[in-house]
Amino acid sequence: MFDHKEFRKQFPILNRTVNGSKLIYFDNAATMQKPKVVTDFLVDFYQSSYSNIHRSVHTLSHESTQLYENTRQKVAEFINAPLPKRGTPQNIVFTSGTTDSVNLLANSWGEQNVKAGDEIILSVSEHHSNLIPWQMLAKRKGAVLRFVSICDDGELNYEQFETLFSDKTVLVAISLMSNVLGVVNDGKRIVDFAHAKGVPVFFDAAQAVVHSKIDVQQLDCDFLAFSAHKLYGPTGVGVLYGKTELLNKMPPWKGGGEMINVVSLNDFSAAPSPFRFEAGTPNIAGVVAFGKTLDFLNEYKGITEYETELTNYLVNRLRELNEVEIFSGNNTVGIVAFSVADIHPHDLTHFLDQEGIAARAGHHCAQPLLSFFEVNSLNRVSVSAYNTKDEVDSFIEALKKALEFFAR
Amino acid sequence: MNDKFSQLYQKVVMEHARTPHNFGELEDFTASGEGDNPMCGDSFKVYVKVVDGVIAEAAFTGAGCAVSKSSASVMTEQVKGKSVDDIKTVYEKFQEVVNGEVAPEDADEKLGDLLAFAGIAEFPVRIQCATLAWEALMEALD
Repeated sequence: MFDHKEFRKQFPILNRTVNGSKLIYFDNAATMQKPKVVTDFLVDFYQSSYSNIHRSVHTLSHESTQLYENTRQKVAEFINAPLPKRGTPQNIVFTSGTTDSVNLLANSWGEQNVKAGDEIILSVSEHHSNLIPWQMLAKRKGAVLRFVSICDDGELNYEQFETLFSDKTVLVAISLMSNVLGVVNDGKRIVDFAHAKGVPVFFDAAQAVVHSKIDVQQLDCDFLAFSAHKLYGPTGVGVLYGKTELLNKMPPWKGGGEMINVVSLNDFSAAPSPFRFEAGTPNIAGVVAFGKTLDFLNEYKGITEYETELTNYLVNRLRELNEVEIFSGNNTVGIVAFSVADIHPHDLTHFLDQEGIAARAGHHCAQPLLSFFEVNSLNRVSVSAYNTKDEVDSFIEALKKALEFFAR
Repeated sequence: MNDKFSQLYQKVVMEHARTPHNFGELEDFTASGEGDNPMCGDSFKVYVKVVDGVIAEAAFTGAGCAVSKSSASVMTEQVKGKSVDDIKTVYEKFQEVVNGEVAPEDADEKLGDLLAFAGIAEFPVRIQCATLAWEALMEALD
């Protein structure tokens, strides 16, 4: 049984006030707050073990390297990636975030495998981070992007998805969960169909990793990316999972220290994955603190069930208000997008902020999706395991006040 | 609701937001300009008819929050009959007010209803809401 009160206590920032009211943090899909064990650990690490990694034989370097590589192991376990008998998991690459992971894939795998006329399948609900890198690649190569549509309830249109494949299709790159609608896509169905056509699949799991259990072996996806900061971890750390044999075939994208085997004045040979993709000194403290974050999360069971219950409560309370139109479908966890009659989202979220409520208005880095709905802005509230039904009630009361305020 | 917030969403702002003046495309405009706020998706197009260096008519289309829409509405009212040079001066004075550099009570009275947006200075992230239509206008006049 998940003890949300105990969980909430671990986040000191939730005790602060904003504009005279107790903070209600409902912008979790943008980024999450950090537990005290993680921020304490960051300071402690810098004060006790910090050094550069992989390079030196001295004790500090050894300790930092151990912590860094242990985190790679923890990440692999967290998403059930296959582990090697010994040594570092080659299928987990550390990046600076989901955006960096997608750019790595588009520039390395894309550069090698995509040619003029080839087709990449995305969806209309992608975050810009899983859209622009592919647009840039397509422009460079003369490739074509094709888009899966969504149904009225925000679910992917799987029938139309299947019609998009041709003998030119080289990749499916789709989010497992929309950052605007919170709809969870059927990853297994996508992979099964694509693989039957011989097409590899990349999943943007930036949102999905927060609200569902990711098992890359069960999904059988070829690549998957997510960010630490959306999962209670530090900023500046991301993950690209890839099947080891695929990663080792891909050329390096960024050159520099740490990613090489042998270097002469005119040439180099690349180290195997993951090091060939981690040029330069990485975000060492961020990565090891992410390891601590995963330890913290592993202590709690039932987070997804609690978040599902809380989301359902939020949706039901929103449905009580006639002025509210909900854009998310039934199959959502954590994220709810909605509009309120006669109140522009920017005005509403500003009002809510005056009540201490952090919500979000705008296009949520998904302009094509909003165009699809023929709106140019939506409200989004996103809850996490440290939020409560009481906070949802306060939010609904604030919404009622806003309706009165703007009707005057 | 706190005073600063109510001050921002005062009556004149809400009235212009609800029933904007000069909303729609001008049929015989001589210039137009666009203003987009990528942060929130607000987007306006401003049309002007300039005759002998004077703005004879001004109008706008687009969508945005109450502040940006009412600002566009008040702006299109205020600029009519003014010379292009005068308008640039007015915009400069308006910017001083919305950025909080000049207190509304010290500002030029000629700003009229534009002073209703002085309260935005308390909310720096929203200043562009008040200036978005002006950016479109300046593009049209350039």
